[in-house]
Amino acid sequence: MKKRRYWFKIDNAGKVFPAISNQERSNVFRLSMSFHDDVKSDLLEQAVNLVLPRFEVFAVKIKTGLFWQYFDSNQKYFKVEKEPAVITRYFHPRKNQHYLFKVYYFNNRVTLETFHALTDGSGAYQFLLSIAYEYLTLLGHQLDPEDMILGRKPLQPKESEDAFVSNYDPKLVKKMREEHAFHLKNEAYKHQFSHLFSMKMSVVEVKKVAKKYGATITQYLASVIVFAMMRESLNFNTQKKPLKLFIPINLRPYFHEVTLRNFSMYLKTVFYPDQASISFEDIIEITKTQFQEQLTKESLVSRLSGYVSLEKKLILRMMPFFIKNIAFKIGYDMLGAKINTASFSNLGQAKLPSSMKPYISDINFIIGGFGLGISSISYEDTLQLNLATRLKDHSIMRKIVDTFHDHQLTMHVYSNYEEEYDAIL
Amino acid sequence: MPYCKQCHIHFETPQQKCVLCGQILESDQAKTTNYFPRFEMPKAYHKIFKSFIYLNVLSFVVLFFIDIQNQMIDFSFIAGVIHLYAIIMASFVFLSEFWTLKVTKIILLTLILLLSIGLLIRESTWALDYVIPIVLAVNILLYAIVILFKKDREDDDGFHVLLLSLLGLVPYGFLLLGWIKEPLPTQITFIVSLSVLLGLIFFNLRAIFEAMKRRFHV
Repeated sequence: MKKRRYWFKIDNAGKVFPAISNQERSNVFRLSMSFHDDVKSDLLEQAVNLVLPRFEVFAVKIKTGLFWQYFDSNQKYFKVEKEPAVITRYFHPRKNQHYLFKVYYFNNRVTLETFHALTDGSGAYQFLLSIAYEYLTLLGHQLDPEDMILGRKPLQPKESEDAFVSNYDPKLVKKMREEHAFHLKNEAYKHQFSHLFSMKMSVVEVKKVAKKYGATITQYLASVIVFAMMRESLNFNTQKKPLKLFIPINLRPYFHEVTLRNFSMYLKTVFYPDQASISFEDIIEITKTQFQEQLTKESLVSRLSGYVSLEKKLILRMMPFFIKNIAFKIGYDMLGAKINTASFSNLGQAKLPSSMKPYISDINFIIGGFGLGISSISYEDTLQLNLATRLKDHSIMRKIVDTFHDHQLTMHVYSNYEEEYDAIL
Repeated sequence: MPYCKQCHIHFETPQQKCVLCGQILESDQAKTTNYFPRFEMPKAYHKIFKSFIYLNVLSFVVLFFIDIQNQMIDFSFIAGVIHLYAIIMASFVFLSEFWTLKVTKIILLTLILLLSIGLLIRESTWALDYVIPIVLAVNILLYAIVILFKKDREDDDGFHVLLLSLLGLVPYGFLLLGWIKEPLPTQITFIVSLSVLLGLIFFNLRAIFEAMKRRFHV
């Protein structure tokens, strides 16, 4: 039963995001669905407002208490907007009816941009899928939810559970110590512009190449990214810090959870400067080994418990929020921002009811990132690999393209950068 | 579809040059799509606010410098308090908040300004004896009336009125300490605050308890 008033504590992963997010580091990610026809904004707005009350996790505003921030119910009417040119841009909830997500339309595309404090890619996908389903229904299409549309299922309390806390095991707490990572550096675009370079490839072809190396698609793509970064980063071999690629893993299948809130954790592939000249084959072998080591239930529980144990410390809990906020900012600048080189998030194969497929032409998933935010998603036989960066250096993108060509992968690409932007960005 | 001979890639967007290598692209008749809206220079609202802060700071520095020359710094302190008030007030005005909270914040800020000026000119009787108690009482009453009619915000507003009512009791403490000479406005404010506080406890206790549970969760 839908409650009139509700509130949640911010989950373990989301706690730090409100403090550290700003124009430079938005912590906003983006999921979009394209239809065959142009989007009718009034129907889209109607669809969002029909779906929103069912998704308690999204129908919230962020509020500040004495010790922690929290999510409080938000019943305001949601307004969709025309998509801006800058992707994954920071937005202030106060200017968005206090909601922590945006729904945009542009030509035939609907885009959901979500602040990471709210949920992760899997949670946001469920919300966007329900919006798209409702929108198509409002257009007059007869669809069957096929038990895949959360918006058409009754609300479960487990959806708003903090699964980090419910899977916390104090006996398995692992100490969190993370060495600093090598960072990509270059001049940044002005006006928070993030350059997106997207590659569309055949899922079957990519899978075939990955299989040739005995790897999964995620392991293969991660290896290509690492290979390009190692080859193209200036003087990586003379650096002291390792190159670290962080790869978020959806924890729901491992813990049988259905929460819509954040429930993912990074695993990392680490390469040291003395490995700068190793071959692609060696990189993929190391990547596979590092995945195997970190993707065990025991390893995940101990790391998860390590994160949760931090927030359970009495001294931290009793600290007034304004002090915590300063501590989060300083802590993130000193430690958090320095522990990875780039992030790569693969949302996998997008699943949707077969009755919706004739109306959906494309699904995409993009993460921002100051250095390099890499993301991928597959829909039908198209895999999209997106590289988003605020830096004016395209050498890594080019090396990735070259590597795919070397592996006989063909692709179509698109970009949000136009020639005239040179003068203003 | 534009094609880069150097990078061997087809662009689906209407590019003239390759975004990776800068080469002029070969083009055929195949259709391209604009995947993204064109970038336009954003309006620099934050620059207006920054300029406003800058002018206030500059004005204070100039006045302070003149005061030092005249060996009397009282005036620049008063001006400093007013400048600070103007900056905070401007940030409040542009905040998107429910109007009752916004008005209350503005009123409380103005009362702090008046008290600060009173203390700086060493004549705070008018502020402590009359302005602060009367304005507080009016604010508490108005806010209490709002929660009678705005049921959907009773948790938040109830909590704010609770805090405001507790603040309304403070001038009575000043009266007991002998800092206030004219008792009537303070006594009226005390009665208003106490009545509203009791009203909240009788009629809105559950909502306030819920609001406190959220705001003070550890």
